[in-house]
Amino acid sequence: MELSAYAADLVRVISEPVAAADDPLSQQVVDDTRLSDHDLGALAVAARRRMPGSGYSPLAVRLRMLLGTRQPRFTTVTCDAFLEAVADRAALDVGGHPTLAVNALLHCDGPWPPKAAKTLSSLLRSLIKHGRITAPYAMVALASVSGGLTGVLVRQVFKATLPPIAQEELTVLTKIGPPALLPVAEVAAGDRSYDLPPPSSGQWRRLAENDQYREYSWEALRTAADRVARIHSGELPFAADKAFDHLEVGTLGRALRVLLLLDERDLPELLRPLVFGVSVAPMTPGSLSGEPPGVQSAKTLPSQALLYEIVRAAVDFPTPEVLTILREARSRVRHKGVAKQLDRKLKLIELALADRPEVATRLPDLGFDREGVLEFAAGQQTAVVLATPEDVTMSWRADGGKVSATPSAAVKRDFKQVVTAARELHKRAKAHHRSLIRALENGIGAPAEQTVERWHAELAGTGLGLAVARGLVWELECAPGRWQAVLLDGEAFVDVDGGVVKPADAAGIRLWHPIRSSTPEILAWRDLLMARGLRQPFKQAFREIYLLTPAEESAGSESLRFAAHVVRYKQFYALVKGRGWSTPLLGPWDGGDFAEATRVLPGGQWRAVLEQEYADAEDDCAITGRIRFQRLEDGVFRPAALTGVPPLLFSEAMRDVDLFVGVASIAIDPEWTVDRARHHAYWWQAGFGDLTETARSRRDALARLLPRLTIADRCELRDRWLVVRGTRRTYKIHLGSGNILMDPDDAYLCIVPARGKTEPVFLPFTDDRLSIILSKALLLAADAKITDPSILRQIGPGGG
Amino acid sequence: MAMVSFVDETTAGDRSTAWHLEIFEERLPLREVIRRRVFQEVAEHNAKGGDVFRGLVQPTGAEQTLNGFKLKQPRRVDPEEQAAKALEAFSRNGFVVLVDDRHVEDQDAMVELSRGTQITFLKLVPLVGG
Repeated sequence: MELSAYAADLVRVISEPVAAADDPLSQQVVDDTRLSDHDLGALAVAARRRMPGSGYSPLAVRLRMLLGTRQPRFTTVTCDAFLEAVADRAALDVGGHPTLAVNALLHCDGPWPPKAAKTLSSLLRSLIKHGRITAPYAMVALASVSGGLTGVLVRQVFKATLPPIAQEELTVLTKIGPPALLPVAEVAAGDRSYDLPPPSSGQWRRLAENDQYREYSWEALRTAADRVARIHSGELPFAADKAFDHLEVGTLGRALRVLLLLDERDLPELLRPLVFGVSVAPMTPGSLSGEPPGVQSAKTLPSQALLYEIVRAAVDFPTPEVLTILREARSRVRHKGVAKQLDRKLKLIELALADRPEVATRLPDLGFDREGVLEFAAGQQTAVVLATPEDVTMSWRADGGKVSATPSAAVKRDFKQVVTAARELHKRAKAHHRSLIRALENGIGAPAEQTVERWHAELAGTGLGLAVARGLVWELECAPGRWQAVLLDGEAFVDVDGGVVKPADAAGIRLWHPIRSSTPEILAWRDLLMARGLRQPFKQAFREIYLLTPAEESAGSESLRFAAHVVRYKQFYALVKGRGWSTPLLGPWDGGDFAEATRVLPGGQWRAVLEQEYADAEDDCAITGRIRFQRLEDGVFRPAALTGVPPLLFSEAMRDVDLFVGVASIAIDPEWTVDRARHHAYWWQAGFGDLTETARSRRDALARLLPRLTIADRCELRDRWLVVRGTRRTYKIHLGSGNILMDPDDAYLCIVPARGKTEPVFLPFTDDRLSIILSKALLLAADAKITDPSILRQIGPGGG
Repeated sequence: MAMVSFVDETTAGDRSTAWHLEIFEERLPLREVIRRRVFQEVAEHNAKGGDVFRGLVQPTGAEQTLNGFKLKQPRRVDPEEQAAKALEAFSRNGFVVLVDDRHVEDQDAMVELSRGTQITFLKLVPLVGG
């Protein structure tokens, strides 16, 4: 494999830091878009060959950081050199982590180097000699490749120290050999060297495809469930958080991921008692100890570690069933901290589920009929559980037809079991309903669509799913590439005019999104939904649309639409995490002054990046920056032009950011510039203590000012909006963020302060947001006079 | 003679302390009211000295800071130049003037002044499509 010229230059500069110190490359940022994965492999070798003491090289430091985020690929030659470099480091006890070798073997595209066994054997001996035995799975995996006496030794030593469930796993793994041992070592969280990139899901796939390992996974979970059951029956003593050793938790986490990835149908049955069992302490004291349960232990758990590992597995490979089980567990736990943590993680699982459309809409048959009704007869009363698009309700109907919210005293007394069963089912149905809606909403941008046949079998196959489906507008592929929006009427699809549409079984079906429709069509659907009094499970027909603006088009790859907002950071952070974005925490620590929040968009091909800067520790505020988009190419997210982003994904990502900013923003930083060096700190520092108050009183100020302006009769001050009637359209200016939505389709209108074009007017301590809102109101009230082409194009000809 | 008070609308809610100016005429075009304000500010600055100018518009070569415009070195500011800039800023919607409860849009509109007339300045932000 030929090295690119750029990579060859970099290798030279890293390998001879003294000679190459004057090379301009040594001071430049590594441009990783110019490096292929094999280039990176060669660079990884060069980086590992540099021993401590060979001098400081900024390039080597940057390369280390890059290697920590992006997975290189190796050829037989580079793999050989890499293994040797790792072994050399281990011999001198300066690094040489065994997982580095595991990683290189797994990502070697050619046959393994003939010398590998010998090199690995010497690596293992060095590690043992220096007492570096913190990564058992990696060492056993390498021993299985190296073979020989070392291999046997390593295996035996580790096996003796392992707890039962992990020991069983190792036996199975050893039987399978390197094909299973290497992936396990790669994904075993406790083993990994910190400077490796996160493991790819491909390793899980490799494990899952191994029948022996899959069988063992069942075995492991059964053993765990059995142990928990025995703790609850008192057969085994209970001690808080002692039910499973940390290595066992690791093993069980792997087993569960494999089964979740394979989407095994019988898993919930086994998982349910296990999850409930580890979530709460036994109600009766362990019979062996014979002591009454203390108040202290009532709130403890047999194993928080396993519960959280199950949660993490569910985030990685979510299914509707595991989500439901964890949600039910959430309502059972008595430990407040655990409940809080679960709430947070449940949201993540819901989000992750949306990215797994092949399982997201599957529902268990709870017994609802086609009208969404499920009844339980209990003497003179009948429990009626009713599924509607937005909720699942329960009521009690007497023989005479009288409906009440609760069962009568007589029914409660005589039909205790029926009442309990009905209530239990109502609870479960509600949970399913909720996760289904979240999954559908999050998947609204996913490119993958189902066939009508599967849609009928899965989503519309249950009364509950059908009830939700009736609240949404769908799109059918009538001809290749031609989609038609439809609504369910009974069981038939009808278009917006009421005409029946009969799709073929193999036709595609997906959720309708207003961004793909014309304004008249959007309005027609809205009118129809209103006329029918249909309440949608989530904002679909009335969803806000964010289109690319002319300024963004010419800006190329970054949007400043939501830049320069000073936000309350705690709230902002919570919102960002809650919508499934991942971001490092900003704060007054090294590297905590700048962060990028990222979200892989539905479909997995695009990623949105939002920059944030930490503003001030005392007031805990941050400032928003640019929004960029990246596209997945050869397994790496690379920068992309805004014009290339699918409009729907763009709109949904922008909608998220608008939410963050709209809720958490307290001011605009008028001095903000793309160039961070020019950023002046004083604007937000001044009188910051009362800025929150400022935000609150902004509305009062407007209420006082507006009546005195000439545009008063065109404005209306609402709870959160200032509504301005122009001649072309009606505009809603958000009082929190100053952002504008246009009637009738809630399209976003992007107008920003012109920077540096005119000499500023100075009025001391003006609330800049108030200024901006007023300026926008004055501009839009006279929208017939606007000449800025970039604004005109967004408003459109004569409005909606 | 009228004692007119000037108010700069500030951080939502509270206002800057009003300052007062004696004006002899009872009727003046708006442009003249703005000029009077600017002249008064400049006169105060030139009398006091210092390198921070607290006035309606930015003098040439000054930098905007929290409490006013910072001059490169302490110097006198030209009232005519400032007044011209202020009127120019007004004409392109740099700020809005309210006379008591009336929003005056035209520079040439005659403003009735009496004892206790309050003139409010409201800053606007130049906008472009994003």
